[in-house]
Amino acid sequence: MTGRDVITLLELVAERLRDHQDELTALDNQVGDGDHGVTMVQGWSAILAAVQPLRNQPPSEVLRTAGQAFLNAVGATVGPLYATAFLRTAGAVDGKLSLGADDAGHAFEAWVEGLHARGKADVGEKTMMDVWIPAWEAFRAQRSEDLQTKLDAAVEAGWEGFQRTEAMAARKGRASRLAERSMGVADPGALSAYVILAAVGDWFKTRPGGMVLT
Amino acid sequence: MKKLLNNPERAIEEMTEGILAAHRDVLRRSARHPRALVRAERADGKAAVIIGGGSGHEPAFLGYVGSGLADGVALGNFFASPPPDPIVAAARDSETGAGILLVYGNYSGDVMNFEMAAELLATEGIPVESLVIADDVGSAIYEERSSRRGIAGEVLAYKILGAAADQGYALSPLVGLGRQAMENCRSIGVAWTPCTLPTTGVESFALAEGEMELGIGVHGEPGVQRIAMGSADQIAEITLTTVLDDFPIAPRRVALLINGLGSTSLMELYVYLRAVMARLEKYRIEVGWVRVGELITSQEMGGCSLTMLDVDDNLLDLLRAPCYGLGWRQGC
Repeated sequence: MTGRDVITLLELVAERLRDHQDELTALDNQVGDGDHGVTMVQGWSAILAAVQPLRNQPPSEVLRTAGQAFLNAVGATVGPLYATAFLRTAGAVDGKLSLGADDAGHAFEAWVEGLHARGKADVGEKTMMDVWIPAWEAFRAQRSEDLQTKLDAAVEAGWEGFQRTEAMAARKGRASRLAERSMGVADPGALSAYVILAAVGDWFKTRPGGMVLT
Repeated sequence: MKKLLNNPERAIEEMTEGILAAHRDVLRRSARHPRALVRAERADGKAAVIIGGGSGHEPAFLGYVGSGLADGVALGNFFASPPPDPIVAAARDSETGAGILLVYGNYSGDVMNFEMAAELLATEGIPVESLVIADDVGSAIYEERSSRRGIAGEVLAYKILGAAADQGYALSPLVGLGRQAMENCRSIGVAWTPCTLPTTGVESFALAEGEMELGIGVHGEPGVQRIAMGSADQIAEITLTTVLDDFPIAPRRVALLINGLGSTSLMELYVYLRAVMARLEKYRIEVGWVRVGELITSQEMGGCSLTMLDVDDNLLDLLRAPCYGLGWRQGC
């Protein structure tokens, strides 16, 4: 998987986020200020613009640039979170010209650790971490060495995690009185996390040779 | 959606250009970042107060940069925290050796972006302190007050800290002053019609006819409860009670800020103020300072907020000190 491959993966994520923009807005209108869909689409568009010239660069360079571009385009809450995830992931595969299946595990772990370190949220707090943490745990727990099998498990666990946010009361950054009212509405940040995760899973499906060293 | 705009995606830039055209005596754009605005004339030898937040709350936050107010501001997207870069740019443009105080509302996005900015400034050897404003009693109970959102109380913080910094408070006493003042600051919002974000075109909430939301946030976030729309007297009663009940000891003298959220007429705000003041008189709480207007808005939201600050003579002097920003000018 080269820098060029990482760019096509980011392009697929951007496309999927655009497809889900209205759904994200509708959810965020019920529990937040309604801008989550716009923010994610805007941030990912900035990523695509910034990484285009980097087709011949190593994946770490593409990821680092993506993180900076996302942060500077959106700020907000998701900006620092995904920027930190991108930067940590870049660090995990630093300088390698091409990534193999082993690197995917390190990259995924660094991604989730970055989100956790910046946002300090855990499972059960009605955030994106309700998708990312179970997804990473399912990925890691898979006995199969096959990357696609591991990714499928991660995407399935992420979907279940997203669905569980509907019954949760928001706890991160909000207090109990407001939290009760957030019950019954799934978390928009968890949905965008799932959209990203599912896009990654699908990208590997369409590129069976994607992880082969080239 | 009917709004006086061109392309909503360009609205923040076009607004900034309009503001700079009209107010070049007050503001200039930082050469370091297009979303960082600083005082037209840098004030030397004083601690610099840097503020910021999402756009769409005008005159917040850029209206509170100027003499006697903050030194620089970072503009975010609609209702979204600015990233670290414009915060750092505004700070570096304003810093003259006496350090930086970052002042912002308690939202997870603002906290993360301003913390990242503070880390970046600290690595350059610039002394940095932060003050996070959490005045909205509608967003968390008293025991969890550190998790409250920042609403109109933020504006009082900018005024007090801006005046104090201009009067020569060094960084450390300045943070102390702000912290102590804000511990005695409480706000509550109420809204009856929603706002629409230009970029989404979707109304922020739906209320039935005759219903209002108590404890609304400045982004249309849900509050404490939905109740029947009341008269100005009834709304004054419930908002004032909510705020007063939150003070561990009832204040004897207060500063009042009645803030319109965007489409509430001045007539309504003054009718409401009258009702609030009549009740305070009944409780024998002196009103030492009062301001009515649109100081931090939510686009065209219909509603208002009440902010009460327990004041001493020093805070009153700082509130009354001259200042010259586009959102607040007095005495000059």
